Amino acid sequence: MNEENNNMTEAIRQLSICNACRYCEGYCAVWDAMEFKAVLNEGYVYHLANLCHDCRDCFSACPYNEPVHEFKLNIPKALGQVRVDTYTANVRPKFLKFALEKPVLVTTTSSIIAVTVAILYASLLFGLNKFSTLPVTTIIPDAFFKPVTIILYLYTVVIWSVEGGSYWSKINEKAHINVYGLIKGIYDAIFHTNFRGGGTGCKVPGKNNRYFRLTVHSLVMSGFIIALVSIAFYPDIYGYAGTAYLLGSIAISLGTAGLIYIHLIEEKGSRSQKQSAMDYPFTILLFLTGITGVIIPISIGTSWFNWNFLIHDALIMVVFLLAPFSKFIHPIFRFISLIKYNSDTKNLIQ
Amino acid sequence: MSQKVIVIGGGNAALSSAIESAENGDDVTLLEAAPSSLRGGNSKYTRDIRYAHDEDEFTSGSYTKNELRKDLLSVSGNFENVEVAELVIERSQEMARWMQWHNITFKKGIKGTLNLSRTNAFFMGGGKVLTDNYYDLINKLKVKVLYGAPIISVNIANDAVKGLTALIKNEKNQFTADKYIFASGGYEANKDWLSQFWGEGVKNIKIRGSMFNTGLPLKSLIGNNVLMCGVEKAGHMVAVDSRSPEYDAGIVSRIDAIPWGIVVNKNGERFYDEGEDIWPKRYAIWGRLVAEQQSQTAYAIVDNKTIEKFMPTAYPSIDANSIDKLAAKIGLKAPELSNLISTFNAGITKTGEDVTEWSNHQLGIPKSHWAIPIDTPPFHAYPLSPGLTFTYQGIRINRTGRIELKDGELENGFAAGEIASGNVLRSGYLAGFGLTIGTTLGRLAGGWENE
Ligand SMILES: Cc1cc2nc3c(=O)[nH]c(=O)nc-3n(C[C@H](O)[C@H](O)[C@H](O)COP(=O)(O)OP(=O)(O)OC[C@H]3O[C@@H](n4cnc5c(N)ncnc54)[C@H](O)[C@@H]3O)c2cc1C
Ligand code: SF4
Ligand code: SF4
Repeated sequence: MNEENNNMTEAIRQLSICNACRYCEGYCAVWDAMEFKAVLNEGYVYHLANLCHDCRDCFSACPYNEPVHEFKLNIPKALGQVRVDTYTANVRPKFLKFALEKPVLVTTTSSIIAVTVAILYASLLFGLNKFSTLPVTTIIPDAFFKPVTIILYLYTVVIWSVEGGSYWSKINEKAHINVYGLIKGIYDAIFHTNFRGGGTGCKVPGKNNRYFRLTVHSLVMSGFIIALVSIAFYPDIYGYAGTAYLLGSIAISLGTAGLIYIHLIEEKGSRSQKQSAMDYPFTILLFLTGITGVIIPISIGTSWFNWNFLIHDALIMVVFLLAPFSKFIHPIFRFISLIKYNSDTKNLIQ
Repeated sequence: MSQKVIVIGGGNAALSSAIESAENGDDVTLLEAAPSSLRGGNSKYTRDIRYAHDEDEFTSGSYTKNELRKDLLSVSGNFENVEVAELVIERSQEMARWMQWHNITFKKGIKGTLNLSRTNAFFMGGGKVLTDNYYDLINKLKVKVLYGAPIISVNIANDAVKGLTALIKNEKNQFTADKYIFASGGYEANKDWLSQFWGEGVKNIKIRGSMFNTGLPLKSLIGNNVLMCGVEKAGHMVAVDSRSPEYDAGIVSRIDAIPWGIVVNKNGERFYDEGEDIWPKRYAIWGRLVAEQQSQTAYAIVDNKTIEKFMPTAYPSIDANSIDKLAAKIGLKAPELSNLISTFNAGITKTGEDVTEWSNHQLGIPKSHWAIPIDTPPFHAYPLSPGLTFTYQGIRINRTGRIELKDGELENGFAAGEIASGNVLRSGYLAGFGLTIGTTLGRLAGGWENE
């Protein structure tokens, strides 16, 4: 609680300086959104925090940064800290806050448990020797796969909605969203409008690959959506749906590998390390689901096809189970803020 | 034949001349007084340029050379050096393109909030990005850069620069070259020098830009019989928040509240018409006005209904629910301040709905525009200090960019940027023209004419 207050006070102190400067206007939605508010309040700063996606453009543009300047600014870090606080404050059920605080532990243990359970299930029911020779539909029958998938999706969507609702109630002010805002919000999310840095790209990972981050994040996001849709066609893993699923998995693998690369080489000081700690394990988990997804068609006809398939499914289950208590809160909160930002823009222009 | 060039300074003018020289094939060394983390002089606090142009994508319309000339003359009266001023105006036309070719991205008006101006083009991220990009570029062009290398004296003999002395890690180092370009800015951060005009009060003056602009090369040149231009005491001074750091607060410390309320000094007296001009952004005169008050301090006081009308401030306002309490918080005498504000409120003539036309001529010092009653609590105060942006006095140069002597010129000594801005602007200031002077004269010194 105390720390949360400190993060908020510090963010308001820093953003007030920005509000008197505004040189970063044009880098991302944060800077336009800031101009809608002469006096910043908590709810609005939560909103700004979720509009920031850590590109570091403002950090590298700022002449008032820590450690050399008395103003000691570090906007991506200050906003990152508040952003993590919005996750912990709105996570539901509340006791699962610990999952956000111990992301490495929770992600690893859940993954290990899920894979172990899957292997136990397979070996107990079918026997270790016979397991790899059976058709995949015998191991995971359609009648079992479909309902489990639907329940998992519903579970995630319901919790996400509750959390999103809680977040929205803290930032909405007088709740005037509009159709333009909704559509433009979806557009911005899909086309990564805010990753373009007003024509200068993202400052991470470096000056010579300014659109690297845009590319890899787009890959993860589009790959995820493609995989999500094509999975509904299970057990068709050979036809169009299978091909789409493969493409999705390739996109996720490449994209997450790119994000992990950025994590490894980025300058640590200009980010909230709590945010970073939350991103890391989840990205690796996604990377593993992507790779095992790519292996599915490659392994057809081999003895490890079933093993890979089972592990892949187990990991995907972990992704969905953990989604509302992990880095995967960000699509929801960020999306809500993009809608609010675009609605506010529309309301202001009118 | 590649000549050896030394550039003195590390801001926009120095970088522009280093780029130009290196592109012309010279062997260039740049000596910057600041360490690398603080490099870039006042240029790192900038954000826009003013230049003559036809319609282009960086601005909302064309701005002719005649308009630019007229605007310059309207702030400074006349050109101290017509030849050089005309050259800057002429050459400003190709500036935005040149910057774009050299890694600078300009803002384009995409959203409702990003309104383009007609006269000025804004670059993404401001001056730190500008200078960082130029440093990256000169690095690629194999320019040698020495940080923490302030020049403390210049050796001149027989109409030529013979060498420089730099103080590096407390040791004197000598440098020689075929050509020297002086781009070390003004002397606004040299409080000893400033104390000649401001006396003791100098300690209360905030320096908005780089603490490294102490003008030592300029001083040394003055001692060597070069021709000067611009008034020594003159400087561009605005009202800034007293709580800001002594140096390097850049753009964020300025206070735009003045036309919306009243300004009083330590004795609780008003001392100038806060609404003299209908144009609310005339904070440029207020630096000098505040500097003339006791302890170089004043307070701007507004009420709650106007607080969102002006640019937000970096430091929070000092707030109180009554004028008495506000007076106590800022150390003024409560009865005097209350009295002043009630007389102020009582004497306002409201002509029509437009507050710009509201005035109070009942007081000893009138408020001619924007006279809005201060009656809605909470009341807010901002402590004001003078904030010096730059000094005007510099070196006279000729059309080739060479430094002029009382008789003749320095054959191998050039000057560019703030150190030579007096050739164009002897006083007054036109937003966005500091960089234009630096880029055009920097390129001139770097050998642009040879193309
Ligand atoms: C807050 C602020 C905002 C401004 N905004 C704008 C704007 O938006 N647009 C605009 O056109 N102008 C603006 N200006 C004015 C502009 O900053 C200057 O006109 C311009 O930067 C001058 O460039 P310069 O290269 O001559 O000097 P500077 O950028 O000040 O560079 C001087 C350099 O010389 C170095 N130096 C000093 N002494 C020595 C020495 N002894 N030896 C070696 N090196 C030395 C310094 O370290 C520094 O690197 C602004 C000024 C301020 C203070
Ligand atoms: S991050 Fe720095 S440069 Fe950017 S708006 Fe804030 S204060 Fe200005
Ligand atoms: S780090 Fe990037 S996304 Fe975050 S506020 Fe700065 S410019 Fe915007």
